[in-house]
Amino acid sequence: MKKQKSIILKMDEPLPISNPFDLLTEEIILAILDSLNDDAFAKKSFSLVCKSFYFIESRHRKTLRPLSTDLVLRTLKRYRFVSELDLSLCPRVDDAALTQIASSRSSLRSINLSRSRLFTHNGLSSLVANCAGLVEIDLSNRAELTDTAAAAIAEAKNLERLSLARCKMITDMGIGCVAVGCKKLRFINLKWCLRVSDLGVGLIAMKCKQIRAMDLSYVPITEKCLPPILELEHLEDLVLEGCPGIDDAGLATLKHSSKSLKTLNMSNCQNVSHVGLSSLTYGAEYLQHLFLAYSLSVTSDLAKCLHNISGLQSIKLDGCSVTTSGMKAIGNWLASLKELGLSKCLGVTDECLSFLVQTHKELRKLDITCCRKITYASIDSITNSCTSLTSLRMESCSLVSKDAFVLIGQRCRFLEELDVTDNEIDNEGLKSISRCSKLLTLKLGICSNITDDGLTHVANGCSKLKELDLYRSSGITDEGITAIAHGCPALEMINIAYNDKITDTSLIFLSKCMLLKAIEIRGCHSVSSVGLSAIVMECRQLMVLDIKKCTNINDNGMIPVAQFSKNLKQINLSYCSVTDVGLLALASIKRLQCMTILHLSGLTPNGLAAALLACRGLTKVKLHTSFKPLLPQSLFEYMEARGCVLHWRDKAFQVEMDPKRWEIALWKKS
Amino acid sequence: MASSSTSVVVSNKEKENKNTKKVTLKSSDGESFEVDESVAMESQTIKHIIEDGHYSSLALSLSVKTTMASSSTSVVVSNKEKENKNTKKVTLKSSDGESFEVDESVAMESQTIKHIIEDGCANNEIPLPNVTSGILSRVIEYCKKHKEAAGESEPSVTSYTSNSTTNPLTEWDTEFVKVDQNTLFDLILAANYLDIKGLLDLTCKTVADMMKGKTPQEIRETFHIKNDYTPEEEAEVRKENQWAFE
Repeated sequence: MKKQKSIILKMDEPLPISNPFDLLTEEIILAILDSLNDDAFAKKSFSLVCKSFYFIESRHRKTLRPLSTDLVLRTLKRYRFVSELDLSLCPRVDDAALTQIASSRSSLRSINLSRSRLFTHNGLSSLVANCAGLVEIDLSNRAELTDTAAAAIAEAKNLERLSLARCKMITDMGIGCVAVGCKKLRFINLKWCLRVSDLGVGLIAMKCKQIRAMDLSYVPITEKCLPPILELEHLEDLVLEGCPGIDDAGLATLKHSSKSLKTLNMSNCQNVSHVGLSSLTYGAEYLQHLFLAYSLSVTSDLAKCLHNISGLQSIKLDGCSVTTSGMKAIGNWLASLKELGLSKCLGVTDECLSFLVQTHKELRKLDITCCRKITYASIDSITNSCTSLTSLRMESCSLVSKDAFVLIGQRCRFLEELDVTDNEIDNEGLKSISRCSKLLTLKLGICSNITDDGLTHVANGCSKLKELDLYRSSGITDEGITAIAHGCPALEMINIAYNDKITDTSLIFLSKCMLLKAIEIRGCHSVSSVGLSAIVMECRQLMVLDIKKCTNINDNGMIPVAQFSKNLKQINLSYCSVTDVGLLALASIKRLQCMTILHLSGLTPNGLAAALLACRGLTKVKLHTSFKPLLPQSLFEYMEARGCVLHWRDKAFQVEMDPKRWEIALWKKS
Repeated sequence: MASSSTSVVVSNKEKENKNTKKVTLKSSDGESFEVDESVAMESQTIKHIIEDGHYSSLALSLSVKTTMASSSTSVVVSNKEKENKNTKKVTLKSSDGESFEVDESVAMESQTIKHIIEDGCANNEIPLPNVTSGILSRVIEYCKKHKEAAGESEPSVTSYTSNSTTNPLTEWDTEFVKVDQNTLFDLILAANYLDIKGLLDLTCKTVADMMKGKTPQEIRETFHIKNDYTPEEEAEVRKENQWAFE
């Protein structure tokens, strides 16, 4: 009911514009909506503003992720231009539903059925028959699908992207059908297809000449299928992770290698050394990314076979053992690396790391997690040479002294991600790091030397911070968290687990960070339902809540969560003082998919049964084995049919807050 | 060195001004340099030769050695680069009658204006009846700044795989769109009419950012939009948004 105002206008004053969008064409408004594509909340708000916005938004949306099968058809009527359908939140999609969806949206281009059960090859046939333009199908994890289903997929003549990961029943026969039928295939994922062998994979390579990317992880192939694959003109991405049948001897028989290959993943290949690798990479002049985690030893021989690949940008050697000569040889490479992974590599020392970074000055991402031999000297070299670093991960580099962290802040101003979990960093180091104004992710877990002073500097300097991890950093109190709440409005994820000094005050102030999506406050004894209510009331985008062992949170905290956290997907309530009432209240959160409810103080079998039945969107529940004999078998069968997996845990009730003796370990360290 | 820099600059000019007349200068030791006629006419000597028509369409023989000729050419061309008085200008006329003289290359940031000029309909003054002088001056400011930035070859440190850059132009753009709502929407309309992709993207993104994190009522208040839903209709849509899809 708007009041009518009479406005007396002067001659040359501009008219107040009532709705500026009236002047814009629909094309322009659609362009504005494009900028909101990553923000589902904003698009929904937009559609609720007025009717014309509703209609424009309904013409804009191209991708839909329905929450339940029953409402798919109705939602498709609203959104007539949706061509990508992601049904991964709809566990029950039977043949009838699939047929209906297909006939109501024949312009469908992409469908994700990776978490949906109940459909068979019949449903797939009608899908493919109705949707001639289908370009992408994701059938990962559908372990019940057989070769008949693959034959049905083979009728999709325009198919370009297909995932059959973990479809363990599909054999060479089915893959052969796909190879013959889907000539335009560009991307195929056969990870863990244990019944597929050289025959099927070879057929794909010979018939589908447009292939750009193949994932053959853990497939029992040998080198026999590789020649036709390597001859594919457009092959860019090849994943051979964990392939048990690939070894040096077999690889040595290869006569040609791929000229177009850009990415090669041979992680977890235990029978391949530099000898085998060189057969694959010989002549691969366009190679850019190499993944060799947990496989071969990094020796100078390995480095030599990669020496001439001038375009190499990233290499992951996580978990490999490394020799000094190998590292130094990498330092002599033609290529200038942008990304280097040395996480958990044995053998990384100051000497070889410093030499390596001196040539690779353009490094953007460096992972030296658990390189326990390196000291201040390495950090000095790294920060001196690689000033363009955007990501540095150095968890548990225990010999690095606190002065090194000052250098990081001084010299690496473009840092966006920094992980210094379990290090000696102190407030001086944090003060220096706060100068990295572009910082988005900061992990300070198990850093016992930092206090509110240091954290306040971060709050003042890093206004773009999205992720903050203070797991077991016991020197932090409400004061530090309050500063962060004021200084970092873009915060999306915070972890302040196992800290007794954090009280409701922290949560009340954190409610200012309206974009918070994940909150982890495990074991915060001093937090109660008051703080929890305050934060859920403001942070409506909350998706993940972990309040395990917050024994002071009771049913009074659950009611506001049920009322306000409509986007909650995952909750951990173990050890909370929540009863049947509180748990049942959570049933009104339609989005809730994942629940961990061990040792709730007031949970009874009846309450548990009622909650399981009422939370209709659940897909995963972790609960205590003691309840198993107390509930009817039919309940478990019903849950399974509905697509929910029950994980039974036998953990004994832990009276101590600190059963792994963290506190003593940290005390001994300082 | 001098001759290589000459050829680079001349090819840039080729992209900007199509159909410009070219002349070929041939030095005493036989090397040829092809340059725009306007550039060559920096030299009064050459200018007279051209005006008197005493040359074949292909070559002017000069009694100057290669290095001398090429170095003076490069000097001439680099002066042109600095957009001195000798660059071509166009006049843009706003809806309220104000005229703005700008470099042709700056004006051609607008695809609309570019087509008008290329079609030969320019006649020195281009009327823009859909754009007021206030908005037009801002648009010109944007085009100038972005043209300048494109010309400079200073590399900016870009983040590998991340979207953020330390490009100083991003900060200038952010300041540029800090205007009142009316002006912002006028800029959108002008960028659309004049077909300036960068400006349209920037202004649209600004409006989008004004909607992020807001409830429908807050969006209505920000943009003075009337709510024409009945309470029942609004509840229906709200329910569907909440329960049907992500």
